[in-house]
Amino acid sequence: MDKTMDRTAYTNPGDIEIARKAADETIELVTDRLRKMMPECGFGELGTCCVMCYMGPCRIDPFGQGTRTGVCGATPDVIVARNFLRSATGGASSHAGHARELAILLLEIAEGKAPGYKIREEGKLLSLAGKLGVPVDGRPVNAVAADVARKAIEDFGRQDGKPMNWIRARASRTEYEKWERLGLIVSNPHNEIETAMHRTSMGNDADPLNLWVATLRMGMVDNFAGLMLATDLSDVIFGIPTPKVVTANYSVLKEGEVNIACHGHNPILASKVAEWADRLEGEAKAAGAGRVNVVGICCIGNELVMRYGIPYAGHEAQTELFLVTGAVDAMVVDMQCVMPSLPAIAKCYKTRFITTVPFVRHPEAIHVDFRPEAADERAQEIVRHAIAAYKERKAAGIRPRIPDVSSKLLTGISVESLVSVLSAVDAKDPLKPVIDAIAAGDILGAVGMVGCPNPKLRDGAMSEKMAEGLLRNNVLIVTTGCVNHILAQGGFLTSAATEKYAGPRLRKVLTAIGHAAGLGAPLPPVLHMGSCVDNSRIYDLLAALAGKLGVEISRLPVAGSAPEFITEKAISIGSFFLAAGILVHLAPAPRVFGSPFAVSLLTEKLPGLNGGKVLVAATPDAAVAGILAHLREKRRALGLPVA
Amino acid sequence: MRRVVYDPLKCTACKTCELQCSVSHSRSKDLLAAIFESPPPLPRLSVAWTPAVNVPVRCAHCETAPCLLGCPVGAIRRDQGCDAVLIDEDRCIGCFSCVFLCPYGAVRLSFDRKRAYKCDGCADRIVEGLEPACAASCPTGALAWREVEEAAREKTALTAARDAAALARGGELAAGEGSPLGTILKMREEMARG
Repeated sequence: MDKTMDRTAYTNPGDIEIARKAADETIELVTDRLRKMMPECGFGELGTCCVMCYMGPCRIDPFGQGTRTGVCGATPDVIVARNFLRSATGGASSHAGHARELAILLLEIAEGKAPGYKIREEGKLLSLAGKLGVPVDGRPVNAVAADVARKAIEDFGRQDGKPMNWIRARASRTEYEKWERLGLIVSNPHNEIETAMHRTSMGNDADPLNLWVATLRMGMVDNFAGLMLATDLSDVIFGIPTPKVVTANYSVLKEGEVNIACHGHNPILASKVAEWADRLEGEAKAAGAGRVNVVGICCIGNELVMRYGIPYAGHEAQTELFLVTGAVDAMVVDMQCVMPSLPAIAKCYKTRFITTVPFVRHPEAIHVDFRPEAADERAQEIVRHAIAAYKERKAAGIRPRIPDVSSKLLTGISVESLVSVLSAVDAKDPLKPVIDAIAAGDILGAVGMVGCPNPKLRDGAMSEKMAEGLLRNNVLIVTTGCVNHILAQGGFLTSAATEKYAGPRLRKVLTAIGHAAGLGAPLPPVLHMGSCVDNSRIYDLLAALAGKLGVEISRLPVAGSAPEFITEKAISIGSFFLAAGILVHLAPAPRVFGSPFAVSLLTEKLPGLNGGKVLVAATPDAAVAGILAHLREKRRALGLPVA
Repeated sequence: MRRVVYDPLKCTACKTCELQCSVSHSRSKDLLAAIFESPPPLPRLSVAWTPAVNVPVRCAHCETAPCLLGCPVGAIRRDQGCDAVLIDEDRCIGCFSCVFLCPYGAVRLSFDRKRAYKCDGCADRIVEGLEPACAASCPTGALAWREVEEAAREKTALTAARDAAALARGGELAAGEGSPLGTILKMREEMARG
């Protein structure tokens, strides 16, 4: 398997230029390691490798001639279900951890213990308080904030079995009742995670259906204790995103400036680094640099660009390449998607690789113990590391190479900002133009393209080709996560992309909205709704549309797609969208094919139960065809035109 | 002359060779589709296990092949092009003489139990310039597609080096030790001893 020579029209010239530099300098990249790993373990791919106990490790012969169960007697259906639940648990834990940090920060802000932060969106705080039943009248903002934070924190310690506060406050009645019927209302995310680990350990749950229900419940944990809680509280503390046009791709790095690349997920750290980058400009100048230039990589790139318009560097699979430019003075990371290969590469270019979270460490990294109570001191320390590295880099004569590639993107589409854009078309009923366009068939449906940049599918430009295929068929796309970096670099988040890719009917709608909203050009056909935790925004938007139409979300002509997923977080997000009754397209194939039960559940039985369905398609054409067929089926069921 | 050569100290019994053998002999050549094919594409080699060592048992494509010599209907021949001993499925009468004549136990029964079934040397892959699927997929290099003479020379050199080291250390270095699997093998010996 040698895919290095594969080129598509979407290949980022910057990636090629820097990959060549890496080869010249004998730097090993993720693509090199992937090539050496092929073929990957087939038992793992099928989900029928079990390492839960020490009578094993066990693997099941998928051709039915050798071992048919594990040593303990677990069938492939049980083994696959347990493995899948464990990966959903890994994902939900990541998101719940992210959200819990924000809840604790909100409480610290309210109690005056985190002086570096403040509440930026009182309106959103009060609206959340209203939904949570927290009294607001005549109370100081900090008292309300403290109670909202306590409502969030209460869920993590709840032992009374009552539904989570965040589900009660944030799920629509229709959806809530559906979940109640299916037994999917969860009470305490930590208990759910504990029970999942417990039931999957040796000698516990051996009922595949029971295990898959637990996976759907883990999806509920992921959304309500993770994604939605994180987005809600991040908006309160860091601001609700508003539309803005920003630059993406390698050229956001600046020669002659101190470049700090923030990588990871939680804005608690990166927002302060960005703030102190500006405040320490004098020190940068004294070091001979123009200024301190902060750029965002991976999902922190999404958080920073959505709120502050900070330059939008690249995705997770480009992290190594950004270091190889030799232009990064410090790469500052918090948590998730930080490849362990990075510090060794950083060393080659005098880049200081800085970890900040106690459970995300690396022996070759500089560790700065970042805590919200001491945010300002720690952020200054980090920026000063970068300035010192700049001097070292210059003294060592390291010559950076910054590929001259850039693109623009329209970002900052929160539900709130989308509604305000649409108000320009219909002030009384902002969602009406969208609903009318869907009803008429001008918008055939909508697809949320989310998730990661998987090197297995990157060379084939899976995401770009899928986006192109969907847009041609008048499907509107919303994005979150690293997929948005890919599409932004491909130029999909511009008015020009509407002219270039959108089918004639979609183009007409986007042009009308764009002009009514005063853009003077069409609205881009791909709308950027944020980071991977901001999938909750997509869900909120769907809930608003479904509410307006008076139907369950599962009946809408919409689909989710993680076209190049990598992480367990994609598994837990996907599990939530399945629980919500939405088609989920996945590539690469999820590790379920070793279980006939799982395949039948996810493709045949679940659709009948709540509408949720998995579509596995590893080529753009197959994915687009499968999604279009699904959208048309949903439209037919609603009595809408399908042509 | 190239053969799939085997290093007993490197096999972890992961069975990737079996799985990839099946996939490369399936109609779809794709794992996720191959597992649904009927008849199933059975592997043409099999990883056998002893307490001391794991052995991927595979046809050696012997120069003087007992199976070929013993086949009463001439259904087994040596293909000069890909230098492999092949069974002609149409001619095979299912007497299974070859199964018992093979000194390795490398000949098995077909899925319908009507014909002999064994490694075909990945003739199709060789034509395409690929290595046999088992060797190409082996994650540790326990199976490798190599020139036999070169592999033999290397083995001779390793024997010399090992004996020299053993002499230098007063013979304390046992044969299996020092390999990545030393610990596992030792553990298995203990288990076998009970």
